[in-house]
Amino acid sequence: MSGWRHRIVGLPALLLALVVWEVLPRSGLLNPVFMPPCSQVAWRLWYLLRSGELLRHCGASLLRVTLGFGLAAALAIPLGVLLGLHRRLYLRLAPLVGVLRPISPPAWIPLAILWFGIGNRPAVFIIFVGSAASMLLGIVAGARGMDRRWIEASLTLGASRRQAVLWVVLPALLPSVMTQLRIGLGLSWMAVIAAEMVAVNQGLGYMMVQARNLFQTDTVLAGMVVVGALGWALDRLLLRLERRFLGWRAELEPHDLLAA
Amino acid sequence: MSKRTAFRLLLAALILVTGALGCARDEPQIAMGVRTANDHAPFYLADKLGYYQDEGLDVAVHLVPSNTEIIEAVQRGDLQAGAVPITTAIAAISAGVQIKIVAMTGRAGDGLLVRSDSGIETLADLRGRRVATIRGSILDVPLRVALQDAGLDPERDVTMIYFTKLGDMIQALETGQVDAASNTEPFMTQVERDGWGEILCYYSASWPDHPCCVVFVSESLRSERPDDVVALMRGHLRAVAYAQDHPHETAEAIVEYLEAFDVPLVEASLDEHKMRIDAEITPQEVERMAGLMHEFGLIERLPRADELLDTSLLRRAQP
Amino acid sequence: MAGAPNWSHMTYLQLDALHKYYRPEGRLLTVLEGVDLEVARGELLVLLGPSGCGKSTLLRLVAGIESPDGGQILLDGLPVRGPGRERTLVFQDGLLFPWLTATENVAFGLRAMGIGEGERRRRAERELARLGLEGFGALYPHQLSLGMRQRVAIARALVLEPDLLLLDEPFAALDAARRRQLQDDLLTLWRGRSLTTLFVTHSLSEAVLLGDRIALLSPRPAQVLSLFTLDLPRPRREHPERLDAWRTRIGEALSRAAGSSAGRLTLGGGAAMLWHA
Repeated sequence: MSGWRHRIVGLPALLLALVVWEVLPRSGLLNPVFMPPCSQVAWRLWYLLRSGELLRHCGASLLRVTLGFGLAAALAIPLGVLLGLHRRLYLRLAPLVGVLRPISPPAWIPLAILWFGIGNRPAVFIIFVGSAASMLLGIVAGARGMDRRWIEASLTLGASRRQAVLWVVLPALLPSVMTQLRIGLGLSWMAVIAAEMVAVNQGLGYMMVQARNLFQTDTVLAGMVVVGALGWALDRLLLRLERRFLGWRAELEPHDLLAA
Repeated sequence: MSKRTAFRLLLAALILVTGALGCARDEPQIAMGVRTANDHAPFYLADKLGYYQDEGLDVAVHLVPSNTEIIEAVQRGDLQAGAVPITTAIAAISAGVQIKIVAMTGRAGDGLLVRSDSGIETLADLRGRRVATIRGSILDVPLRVALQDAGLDPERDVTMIYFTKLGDMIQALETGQVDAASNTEPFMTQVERDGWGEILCYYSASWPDHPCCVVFVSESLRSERPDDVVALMRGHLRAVAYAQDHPHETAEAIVEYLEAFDVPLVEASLDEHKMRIDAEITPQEVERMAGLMHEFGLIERLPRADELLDTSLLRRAQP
Repeated sequence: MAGAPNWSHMTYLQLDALHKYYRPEGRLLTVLEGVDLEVARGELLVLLGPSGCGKSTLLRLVAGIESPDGGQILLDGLPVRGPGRERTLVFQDGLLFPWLTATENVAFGLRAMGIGEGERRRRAERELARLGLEGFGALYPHQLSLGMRQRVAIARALVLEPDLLLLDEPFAALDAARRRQLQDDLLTLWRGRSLTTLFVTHSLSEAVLLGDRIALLSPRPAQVLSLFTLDLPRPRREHPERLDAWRTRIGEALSRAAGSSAGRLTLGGGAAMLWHA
């Protein structure tokens, strides 16, 4: 489909969902206490935005995600490349990482608070553990799956090992690293909401849990809308970055990489 | 599949979902949700000693982990009555939940804990310090009143750190992450007994005998079966009277239902200087609490007294 | 023998009793078994053998990206240790770096040498022009045709002025017309620089067209079955009947080899491939 057409084609379903969301609670078919109508949530969003509260909470969550995700990426990228290239080292560390990864972020909360106290630090820690292990394993897989012949090619062109790593391995791995970063960012965003449900004074997760305890369902839903929208926006941002740096990737044809 | 079939399936799914959300369920006469706390002792006692049965009622007493869950269960229709802190009930009614407060169950029993080595001796010493509390709860409103009484502005002169669980606050106090923790009995007495902390004050010092937990019923129960509610109240009154006269047996019941603490500790925490089990409730104190919540920005809408409270059923239950 | 190339008969590259084996999943796979070979300076030696016989492995050993398990490799009398730009290898599929433009690809080895950006760009563009790719330097590999990519790969190797040029079936994936063109270009470049070249192929026609000498390799485990010195004047396309004669002669040698070592000919298609024009 041509450019604008494929954007429009998703709209009717979206609009229908919004209409249903509005009509069902208002007509009483759905208890409005459980599901406030769409317009009420929209109003609440507007109210929160105007009072500055929403921006404050968004800012807090975004800050934590940036720190946590940043730390996770700073660890996962170099370590992932290293483990991907050094098989022996990888075998030694793989079980440890493999055991840590399935521990979901909420499970880390009690420990995080015990070690780091309250405020930003435990939240950043939880985000870090929520995304680092997954990104690490993904980058390792990418590095292990990289065509070794590129390194060989660079060596026969006279590159030193250091040059080969910097000029060949890193650019070659950039596509899979970017993919892992996008996945990691998504995980980070989910982790921050969970992490903010305890011992912080601002953030979208905090806003939603407080709203729940005060039975303000429309605020809870407004929070979910914002969480969804911000999560989507963050992903698009990374996608843009990916396109900018990896313009050459999309056109890679299979026979470039396979032996004849 | 064809578009028509798909549309029909979607419609059926939609109907199923809304039906499931709305329909009534099969239940005992009254399903009641209570917490694990000292001032919910009347319910443990009534359940254990059969007071509801004596009134011809089949009441299922459910121990629920959190106040919010009790309200949510009532909204769903899984419960028809419950006991929660007055602040929870007010917040729910303000937000449009169809319930009404019908009686009290406990008063006071809340206060501030500090570490023994902290050097904090009075409320005024909390200036510039970090205080742990649960926002909008019974551990929050009387705390603010107490702080104001001591000449402090709760928003500016102290840093409020909001938690969601009692245990987390105690841990934060113990590890030094906060300087004071708002809490309730029997935790307060336990911390003192453990030695590392002490009770700075009870909120009843600035608001004597303040309401703590209340009994509420759903609007549908109240309007459709008022006689059952009166019978419930009769059982409640009996249990309250028993608790007031038998602290030892009450402590035993609490330990049994909470599956925690020990009888001597709980009995000590039931001391009348700390808290009081009571069924009486006045419109004035309910209005005062609601007014304070509204003033502190914890609720958006200030409900009228008659929206919040109906004591007529309790009156009818009294001899 | 008028017109035959006259090179110094000094041995430049010497392979002594080369052994190479692998252990895939615990089994023993011997790829090279006692390969002896000498290459003279400035010579274009073709390694001819069926697919999978180990000629690529041989090239990789000379390039230094793998080490032999037995024997030694001497270049100008000195043992070869590890890869280096003096023995650069052009891979079968070019293996251009997709994230670099053609010019940047060609300049890669120069950058590794520490040559400044302006100078390396100049040299790279000059090399590309020599291979008929003037003006294409700013394009990325995916924007170039297969034939053009192979040219860039060759340019990338030649710009480093290697002592030894190694080519691993570089034209195998191209169609006949392109292959012809590139073969001629390679010959021109080789003659221009007197470049010692090792060229691997499984195509009999290509071998006969290019090689000063042809080393015939047996199927795995590989050994040098025989060496042919082609006394053909260049340009050889002008002598099709003599090319034919050589093809027949070598072809017969192949089928004799196939017949006498039937037990080791595990690849039936291998012998047939050698007849592929």
